[in-house]
Amino acid sequence: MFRQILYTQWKSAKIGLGILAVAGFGLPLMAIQDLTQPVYISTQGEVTADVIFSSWQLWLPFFPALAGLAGVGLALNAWNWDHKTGHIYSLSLPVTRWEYALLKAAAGALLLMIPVGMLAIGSFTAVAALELPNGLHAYPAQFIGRFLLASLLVYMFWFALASSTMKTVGIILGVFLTLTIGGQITWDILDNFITLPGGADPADWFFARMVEWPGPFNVLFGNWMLIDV
Amino acid sequence: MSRRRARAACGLSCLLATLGGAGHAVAQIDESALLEELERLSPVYDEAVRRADVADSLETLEEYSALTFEVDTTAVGPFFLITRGDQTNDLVPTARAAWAIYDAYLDDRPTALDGIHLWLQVADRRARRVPLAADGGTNLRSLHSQRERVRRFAEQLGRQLGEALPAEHQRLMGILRLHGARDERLSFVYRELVVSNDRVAGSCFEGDLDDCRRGLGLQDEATWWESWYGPERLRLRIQPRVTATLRGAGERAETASACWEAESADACLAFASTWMEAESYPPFSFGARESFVEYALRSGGEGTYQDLMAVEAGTAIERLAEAAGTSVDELTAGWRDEVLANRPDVMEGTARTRWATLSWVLVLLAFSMRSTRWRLG
Repeated sequence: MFRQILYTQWKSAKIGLGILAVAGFGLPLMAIQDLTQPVYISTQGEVTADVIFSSWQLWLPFFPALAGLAGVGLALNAWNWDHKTGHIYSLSLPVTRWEYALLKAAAGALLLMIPVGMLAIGSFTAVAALELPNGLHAYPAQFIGRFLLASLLVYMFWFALASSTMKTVGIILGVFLTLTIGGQITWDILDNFITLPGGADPADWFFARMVEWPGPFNVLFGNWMLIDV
Repeated sequence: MSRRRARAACGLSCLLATLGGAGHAVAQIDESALLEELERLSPVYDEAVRRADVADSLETLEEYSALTFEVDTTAVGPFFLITRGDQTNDLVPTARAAWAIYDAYLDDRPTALDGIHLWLQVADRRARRVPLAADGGTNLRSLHSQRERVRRFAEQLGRQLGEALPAEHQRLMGILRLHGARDERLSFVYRELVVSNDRVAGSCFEGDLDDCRRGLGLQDEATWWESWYGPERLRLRIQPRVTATLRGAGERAETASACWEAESADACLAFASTWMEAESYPPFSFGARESFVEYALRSGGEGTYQDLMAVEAGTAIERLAEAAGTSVDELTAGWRDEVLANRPDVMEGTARTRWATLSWVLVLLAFSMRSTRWRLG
């Protein structure tokens, strides 16, 4: 049954996966492509550390964005047909819901390995293409591991949301937005009338809990450097 | 302007007026002779102004003391304090206690050096003109319990004493303002040496001690900016400053055009040489410079700071090395070794993030596998 579920997801996601795979392979190479221009080459014929470092930092935001895009796309794709057909196909299968959801999650996670794998190839190629100056080191394994975890986390977050009804999704996203945007607006309005305790902004607090360890999205905000000291 | 300064200024201007009037009277006077006369009189004028300044300051002090209170002079550590007589009993123990605390910090707790840079500024023994008053009344007990008050006291003291710092000491100004743990600061310096775009940072990292000193700004060189940045880097720094107006007219139009259009590094340097000295700062950061001074004081052991105060000749780095009881090369090499030993752990926290993320993935997977009871709709 796993093969059928995997095939179903592959069939509907193959074009998107192709684009993600190309992006995964190309991004690390694009991040270093400028370094071959003469202006960045020192008189000793080397690319200096600061140029490598700053060039990567310029491209850095694209990597968590790509991980997020891959996760969201595959998660929504996994449940797309179920919602469209009113879950008739899943109800006709001789498995329980948890087994069905597990198989579906595993199939999506396996497909996620395509952009992750291509990013790995792109990263190792980029590292091999550069002669790193003394003091800089490449961390391809850690970089790919972070990309894998980030995409897996985003995938599971949206997979869990998409597995439920639209009403549940609405409630969860509503609470999320209320706490962040609504909390900030309410706090700002109240601040005009009464003296609020400093450093107790609920929106800031909520955001910090989400992105700081051990918050769920901490992996998206850590060190995404492929090349570092 | 004081009366004395006014008299001194008037002395020259009146003389000039007299000369001018005489010139008018005799219809013609040789211009070069007039300039020579002015040249001859110039030192006299300068001396008059200097004496007026001294007199002014003495007068201020005399007025200050005569009108309000007696003045007392006391030596505390490397300082001479001139205090209000009625506050001496409070202030001198305060100053001595402050000095003892900082001196102890210098030997044992280098991370607590906050504020000491002002004491470095005041290292010059000529700095004695200090009306001190505002923080009077602080007793020894509260001084020990309120470090913040000590810091403010030191800052005030330093600010008032620091003006007479000779030029070669200026490079030490503000160096010691340390924050964070030492290994964190050194890790920051390590990263700076590796990724800085200044040529000297890379070669210092590679082991060129001269470039370490150049980067720290402790090497006396007339055109230091040339050694800090390679020609291409210099051009890239200067070229954006060459505006169309500068290229169009004026004394520097030719070099400006050559810098802008021909992208000539030499022309850019010629164009910028007038302002590079005023606007360029040492390549290494404040943190790197303070880590160097901290290392020198720490490696010298007890009493290094007093020794530093006692050394009167030499450049900043020579004074530091002498105080630390070592050579300039050994001091620089020791600092570099310490920096290199503190390579930052760039993947710090990765493992715990990994486990936290995997846990969240499992939690979310469990949510998605729950029965329809989890569904609200």
